[in-house]
Amino acid sequence: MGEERLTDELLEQLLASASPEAYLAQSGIADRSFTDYLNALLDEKGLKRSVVIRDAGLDATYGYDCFSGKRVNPSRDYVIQLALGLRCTLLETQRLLRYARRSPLWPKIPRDAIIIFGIEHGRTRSQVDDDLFRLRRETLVKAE
Amino acid sequence: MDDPVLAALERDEAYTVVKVLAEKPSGVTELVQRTGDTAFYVRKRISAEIANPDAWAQLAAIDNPHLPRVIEAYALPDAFATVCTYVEGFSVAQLVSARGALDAAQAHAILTDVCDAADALHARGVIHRDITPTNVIVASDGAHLIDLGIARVGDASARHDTTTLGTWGFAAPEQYGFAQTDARSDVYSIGCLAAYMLTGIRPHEAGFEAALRSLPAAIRSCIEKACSFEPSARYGSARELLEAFHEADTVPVRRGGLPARPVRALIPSRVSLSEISIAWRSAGVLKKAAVLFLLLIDALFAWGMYSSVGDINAAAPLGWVVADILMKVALATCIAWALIDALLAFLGAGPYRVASRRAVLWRKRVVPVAVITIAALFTISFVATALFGPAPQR
Repeated sequence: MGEERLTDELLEQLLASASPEAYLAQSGIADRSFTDYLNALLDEKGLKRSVVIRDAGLDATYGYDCFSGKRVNPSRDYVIQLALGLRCTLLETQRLLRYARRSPLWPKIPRDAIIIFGIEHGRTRSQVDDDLFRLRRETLVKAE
Repeated sequence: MDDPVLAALERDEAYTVVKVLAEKPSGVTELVQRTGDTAFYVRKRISAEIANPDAWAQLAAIDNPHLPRVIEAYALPDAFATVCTYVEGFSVAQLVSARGALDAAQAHAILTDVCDAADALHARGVIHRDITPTNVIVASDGAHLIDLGIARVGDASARHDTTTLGTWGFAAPEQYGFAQTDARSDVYSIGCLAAYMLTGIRPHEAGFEAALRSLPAAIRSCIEKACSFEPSARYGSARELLEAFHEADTVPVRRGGLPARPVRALIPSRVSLSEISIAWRSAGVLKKAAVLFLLLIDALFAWGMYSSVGDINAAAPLGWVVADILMKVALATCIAWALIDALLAFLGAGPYRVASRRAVLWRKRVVPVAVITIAALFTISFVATALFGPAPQR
């Protein structure tokens, strides 16, 4: 998917631009949907949708609809589950959340901090849920 | 694997897409391969509204040599997916546009196979509804009726079809919504197909009527009966149509239905490198070894030609040098060509039969590359000789 440009760098370029047109022409950013980025991540990691959906602990039809483009902004927890299923890095997870118009993970919030720790340490979705449960926070997949 | 959607998705992901064959609002058709398997399959995704799972359940039970075999069919949340065997060959539309009308014996052979396939469908209560020149593929083992995408199970209770599908010119009038379709709608399409094969003109094109009149009277009346507007005036089944044709057509049937000579116009014009690599991967070890051996001989020969360019005496007149080089280039090209032909034969479908697409890929890529390489070698050696004198003698 090529090198993603860093937000700080882009912001600097935007602030230095004379007009929004100039920035849009120079920066090379394009309209990119959550679905596009999700599928790009899938391709890049060479994973199968069925595996990702199962690891994410999502309902199969819901997960399928995310990849097919029927669901364009799933809830924040669903996006986090998808990111964990896709074995995303923290940077990729934050980007995925932003493309879904959901707030990124924030270390100032205890529950987010537990999730960030899990992502950074390569934990699976169910391991992250175990951590959340152990530390008495709301789990990603709700208990039956 | 308890969830049915996940199970279907897993079946779906067992295939890798080689090429998208068609992309229409009604669905996508792809050429696919299963991981670890060299065979090709055709996967069709039919949008959920027009998909007909009942028809596919019936189709899966049919085993007819003139129909694709259904490998599997499964429902995804937004589409119904089917996987069938892939038939390699040229469609009747391609054959006719390349060579004009087919001869009577060949048309008859194709018609025999198509009627057999249609009968097998009708016996199960399935109506194809899209029998057209592009959906009849002529392969080395006869004609195949493909594209079961809009097939449906006849339903006596419905007054007319709820969706209008089919191909203009070949679809029976009732397919446009006047009445319920049945086996006789396919008879109509087969009649149009027969007319198209014998005249080379599509039923809705100018000159069709005149071309039809030039056919023998018995065959013409046979086609006219099959293509009657009113279903009850047509033959009752594909078998009946075929029998009438057998009586009308006195030319003996030639089985196989393949043209004896290669058809230049049928060779696809654009070939991608990825297709070459697929052809290579699907070839067996023996074929690969043979191909490598032939290419090695070719390379050695080219090298021999290259190193003998310097043998000409530097004092010889320029005309001699040029003539010598031209002769060697011509010789090398001929030999390279012969080797590549042998190579194609090894790959299973040389140009002396109707070239299969896979073989054509090789011819389209390998031949130009070989010729250009050899020509380049000679140009280099010629320039080198002109600049630095003759190559050192052993």
